[in-house]
Amino acid sequence: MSPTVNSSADASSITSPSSSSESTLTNATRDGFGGRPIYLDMQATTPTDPRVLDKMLPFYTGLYGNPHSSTHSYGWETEAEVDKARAHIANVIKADPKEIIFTSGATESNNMALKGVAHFYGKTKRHIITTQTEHKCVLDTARHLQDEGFSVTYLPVDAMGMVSLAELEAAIRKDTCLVSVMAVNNEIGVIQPLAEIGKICRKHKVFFHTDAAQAFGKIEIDVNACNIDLMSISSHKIYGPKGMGACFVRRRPRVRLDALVNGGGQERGLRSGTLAPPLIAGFGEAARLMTEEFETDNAHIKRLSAKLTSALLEIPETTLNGSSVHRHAGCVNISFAYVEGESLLMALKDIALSSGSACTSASLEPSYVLHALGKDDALAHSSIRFGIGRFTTEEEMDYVIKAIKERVEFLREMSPLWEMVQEGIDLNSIEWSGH
Amino acid sequence: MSAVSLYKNLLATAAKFDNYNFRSYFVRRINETYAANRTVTDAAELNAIFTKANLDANTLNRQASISQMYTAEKLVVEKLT
Repeated sequence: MSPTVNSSADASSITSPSSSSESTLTNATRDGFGGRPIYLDMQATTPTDPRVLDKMLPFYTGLYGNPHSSTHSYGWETEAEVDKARAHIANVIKADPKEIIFTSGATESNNMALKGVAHFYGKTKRHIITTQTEHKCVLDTARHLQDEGFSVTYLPVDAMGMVSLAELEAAIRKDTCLVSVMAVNNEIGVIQPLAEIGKICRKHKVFFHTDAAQAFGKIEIDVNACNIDLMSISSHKIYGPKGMGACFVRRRPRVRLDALVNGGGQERGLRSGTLAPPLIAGFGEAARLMTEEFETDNAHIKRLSAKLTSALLEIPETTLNGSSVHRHAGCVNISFAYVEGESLLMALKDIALSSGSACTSASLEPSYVLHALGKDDALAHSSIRFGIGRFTTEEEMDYVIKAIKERVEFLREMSPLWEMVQEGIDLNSIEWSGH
Repeated sequence: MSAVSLYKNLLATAAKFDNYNFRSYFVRRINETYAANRTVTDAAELNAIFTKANLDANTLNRQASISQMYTAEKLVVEKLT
């Protein structure tokens, strides 16, 4: 007997097709079609791969042992699975499994790396270097360290979003303990030159941390070839479960950290607390799949990304933000001049998109990343980020291209600014009167 | 089981996913993998491919059932039947 087979989940957006009238997503746009939006926000999070869920389920049904219980088989069996997962994750970045420390996600890993190194070496080394386009959690952690008396250099980026190696090298001081530069930017998808940065850091004996939440498994990274000492990794950006991540901490030459979380001394004493085998097994399987599917995923994503990018750039007055060469194809950030990004998003209820980072999109502030690239407020406000992943389909891409083209045109037709531009009026020459 | 019937079985299982994106993905990957392995003749290699495909078939079966238990509204690109 299987009593639960037909129970449908009652989370508001997950309903059975027949009882979907309560959902806020039921604005069917075309007769005879469904109403749930196309998901194109892969930088915010990715869908959990069914193969990952399949790996996790046994840990919620029978394998519940504490992996730290060394006296019985319940502990041994989950410990063995944790070790397998750790090896899969290490393999993606060519690290030793012992160098992988499990955390709750990339935000914790970033906190752990920056605060950990700063606090351990803080007696003699009081300076940290990072960039203006980092994720909020790196910038906010750096601010906290400034409050504690550390000095922080925020390196600018060029119009393509790239860090200057010369400026980075010039910024290194005698008391610099850490350089933190993200691998792939979460808003514009730009890839920083990790190998070159690593070389400079090693030459000056400064630790190199990279936030690889958006990069892990999606671009090739070898922590040894790139001289990376610390790396933040997230599980839910690679089709794994949320609430899970890792920090790579190099053993040779050894990087020493002050732990954020103290307790039973798990994870080499760097992150105490009982591990979560279901999440770790899911994370490990997600990492294994990233390796196994690396080529087919990348080919698929590149193909869809090229199609989307070229079609959208055909619309007049549109620009691709960030370098078109050094980028992860799965992240396409485009500015539609004379269209307000939030209005476009409102007009695109059938596509789940974001104008930037999920963390700041609630505030309606223009993106600080686009500001750092030298974009003005207006252009920063008119930008949309498209995230493409393993599960995105060609059919969805065609729908999105058509929808964006139609609605940009529609919004521009309503815009007095667009009308003036069409008449050849230079908008900068207008003196707006305030009220 | 012959390669063709294993391939057809896998496709039929993938088609059972209620979730549009998962269904499309697995159908695409099964087709790609089958096309890529069609010319393999080495016995050991074939054996490995079959073993993996059978494991994948089990996973796919379980997950297709789960996808049918917890369904979501159809996407805007999906025709309602």
